[in-house]
Amino acid sequence: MKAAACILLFMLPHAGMFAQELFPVAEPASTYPQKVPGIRLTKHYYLDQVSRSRAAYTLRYIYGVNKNLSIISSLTCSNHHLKKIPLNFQSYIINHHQRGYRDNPFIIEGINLYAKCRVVSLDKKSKHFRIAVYSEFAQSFSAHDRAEPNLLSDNTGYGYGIILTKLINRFAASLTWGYIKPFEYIQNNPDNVYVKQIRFKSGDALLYNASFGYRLYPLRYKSYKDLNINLYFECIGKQYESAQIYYDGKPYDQTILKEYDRYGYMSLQRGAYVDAKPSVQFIFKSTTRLDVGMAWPLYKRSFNHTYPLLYLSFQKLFFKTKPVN
Amino acid sequence: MNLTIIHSFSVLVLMISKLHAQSLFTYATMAVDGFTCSQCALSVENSLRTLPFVSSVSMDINETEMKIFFVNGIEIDFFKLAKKVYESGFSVRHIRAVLAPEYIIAENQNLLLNNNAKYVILSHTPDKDTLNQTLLFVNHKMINKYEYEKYRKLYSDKFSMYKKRNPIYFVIVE
Repeated sequence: MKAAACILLFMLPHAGMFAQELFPVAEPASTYPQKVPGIRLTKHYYLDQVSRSRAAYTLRYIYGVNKNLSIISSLTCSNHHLKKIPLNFQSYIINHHQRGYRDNPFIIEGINLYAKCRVVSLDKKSKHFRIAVYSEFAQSFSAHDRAEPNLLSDNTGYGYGIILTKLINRFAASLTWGYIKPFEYIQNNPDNVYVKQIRFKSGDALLYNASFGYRLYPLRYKSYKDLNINLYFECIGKQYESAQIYYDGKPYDQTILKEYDRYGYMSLQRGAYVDAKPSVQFIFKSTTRLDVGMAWPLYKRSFNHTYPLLYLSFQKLFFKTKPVN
Repeated sequence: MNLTIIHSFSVLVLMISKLHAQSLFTYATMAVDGFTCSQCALSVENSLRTLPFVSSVSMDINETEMKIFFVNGIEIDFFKLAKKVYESGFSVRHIRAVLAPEYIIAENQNLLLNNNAKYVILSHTPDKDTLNQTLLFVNHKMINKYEYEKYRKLYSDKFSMYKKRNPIYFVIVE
């Protein structure tokens, strides 16, 4: 990671030529080509604190509605969570991070609808500055049990934010500020004599991303068939409130967890972190994109995943006509 | 005197109208602002190629400029060309159309008619060879906004005179 950061810092002063803003993690303020559909399949992978494989697959459908509006709908499948929180709630919270606790099966975790609207666009030759606002709505089909909300699949809720992107020839930089409002997860167990209801609410969150991209290759294009190699360095940060848990209507005393499972306890507390996500991107024939990257903690850490987090993404845009040359 | 001018002008209009099956332009060059990568260039090119009067597009991705060739016999709509660029999410830097060799714009000529389109000639570049005459379009959104403001101020009388009678192209003969 330090090497990637050094490469980026070296490149920044030389970044006066050409650029890329097709960030693998954050969305840029630019929209997708009008009336061009696309798909993106992303895999996130990490080994949890007891070395069990954790993976999430997200399939996105991308569409440029018009020059200013793009929509992205996502479906995520993972083995991160269960469909419901088990009735032995305390035991589950304490033990499910431990070695020997059974692996979670792969389930369809959730869907997300994201809309991005470009509101400012200042173009010059090989340069632009753009501002976009976005909003997203998510429906989760799983039971999230952490304070940090995630609208891609973990929580039902909504979010919105603003994106500022500057492109200067080879170099692109983008800042995102957003808000996430997760809804409360309510699980009713009317037939159970011990636990009639579990309510869990992840904390409200602010997110802030800073993304930088640099086109490494080609120096000059010969045709649309040229392979593009882009380097990215993204800082993905979040700040969130503590989780609120109600067990049959009564607040659950999270401090009990402190002595049994420190990680589990921390995952329910308010927090803030910034992950560093360097990645490499390959673009084939100007339509097909492959991103490979990893995440490390830059400031504190996320309790939604462990490190290093690997991600691999494949995207294809379906243009109606093909280039001549 | 006046009758002679009107007569000559009518002959010229008639001549151009009769020749409309042949394209007025050999090709056009269009420069686009706001992108640097081949994915964006492809998006612009594909968008332009959906227009019925465009036969082919040759893109220089590095210079973000393209040559656009036209289908003979179909009227060229430069407004639609520019619109496609904006719909792709970018801006037009300039559009220049190269006149076919059989059309020559005289130095004192200030209007050119072709089918339904009117080309209001704002100025001529002095001492320019009459071969390969080029028209630079200076309408709103057909040139970058700083240049547009410059020309609009310079030729405010002509811009206001033809304001509501589209399609009017304001051009500089180069």
